[in-house]
Amino acid sequence: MKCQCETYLLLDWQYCPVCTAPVLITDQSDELKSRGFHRFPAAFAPLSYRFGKHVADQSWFYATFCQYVLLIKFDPTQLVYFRSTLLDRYFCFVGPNPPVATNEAFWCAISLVTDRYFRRRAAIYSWSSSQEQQIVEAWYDLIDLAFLVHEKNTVLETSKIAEWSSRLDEMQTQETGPHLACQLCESKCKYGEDIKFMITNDPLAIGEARSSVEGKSDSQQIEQLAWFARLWTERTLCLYDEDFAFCMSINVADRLGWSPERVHQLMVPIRESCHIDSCPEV
Amino acid sequence: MAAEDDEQRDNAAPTLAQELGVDNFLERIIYFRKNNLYTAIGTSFPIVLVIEREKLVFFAPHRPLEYEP
Repeated sequence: MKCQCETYLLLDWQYCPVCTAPVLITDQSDELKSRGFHRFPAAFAPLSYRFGKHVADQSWFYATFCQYVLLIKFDPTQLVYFRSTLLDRYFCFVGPNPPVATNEAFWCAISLVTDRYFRRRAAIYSWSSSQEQQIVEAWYDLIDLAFLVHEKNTVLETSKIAEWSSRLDEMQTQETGPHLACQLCESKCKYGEDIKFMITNDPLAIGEARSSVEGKSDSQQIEQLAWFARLWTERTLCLYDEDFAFCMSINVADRLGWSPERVHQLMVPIRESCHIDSCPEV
Repeated sequence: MAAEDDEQRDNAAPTLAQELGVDNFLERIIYFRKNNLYTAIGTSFPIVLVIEREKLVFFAPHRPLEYEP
């Protein structure tokens, strides 16, 4: 964060130490419309909002959130288990002793990123505003339990979480995907958007993929691509899903600069290489 | 499992988490007992009991929510 005089400011500073100007709170008018605000208004107080927004604006946090939603699709109990990863990453960023209550700033961050995630989804999949509202409200009902404390104990059946995931999948179902090779995918398009975002914002992964395919023949490149996709899939989901790995391969190939025609030409061997039995041993 | 056992176990979870030092900063507790998992992170979020991957029990707080160094 920078002052008008270009001095770098820490998040909890009230005044700039150089020009003594008060640190302006970013306009909160849009964010106060967040559905998370109504569930925990204290989280949107100026200081926690400043922290929360700063965290929510980081692409790695959005990518971690994408992973959170994906994981819940495969294992509903990740709704609570993945909290520790989210919190670890939050603390890596804000430091061990931020001057705001953790539950407040974190709820603000998770609310802002939730709103952004579903707004983006609504635009991509052409949801109506009522569809968007329903799925977001249902999501807030879940994370409300996981992140906010209540006066009474509450029991949540994991089948409810699975129902929510299925509904989201239905709302994301498409006839065609964004790539020519998507015709071989059987899960159009449950993963494309998340994978694209995660890959785009993970330069290390792309570097790793590039170094593993460079200077190799076509068949070796396909094998390496599948190997990379398998590793990345297991790292992200803690299990293997063939469609996810295939989608990963296509997106990585795209990021590596392979032309759509080349990917289309190689899509069958890529798909075959993503089949779990044909992947080389990790 | 009998309803009484259920109730006893559910009431025990926050105490158990407390005994195991939940209020240490960022400490994560995963405790296996009769195929169930207790999990808690710091004291900022609710303590949760995961029952055989089918039910999540979110506990109300029994102490101040924020860690104070």
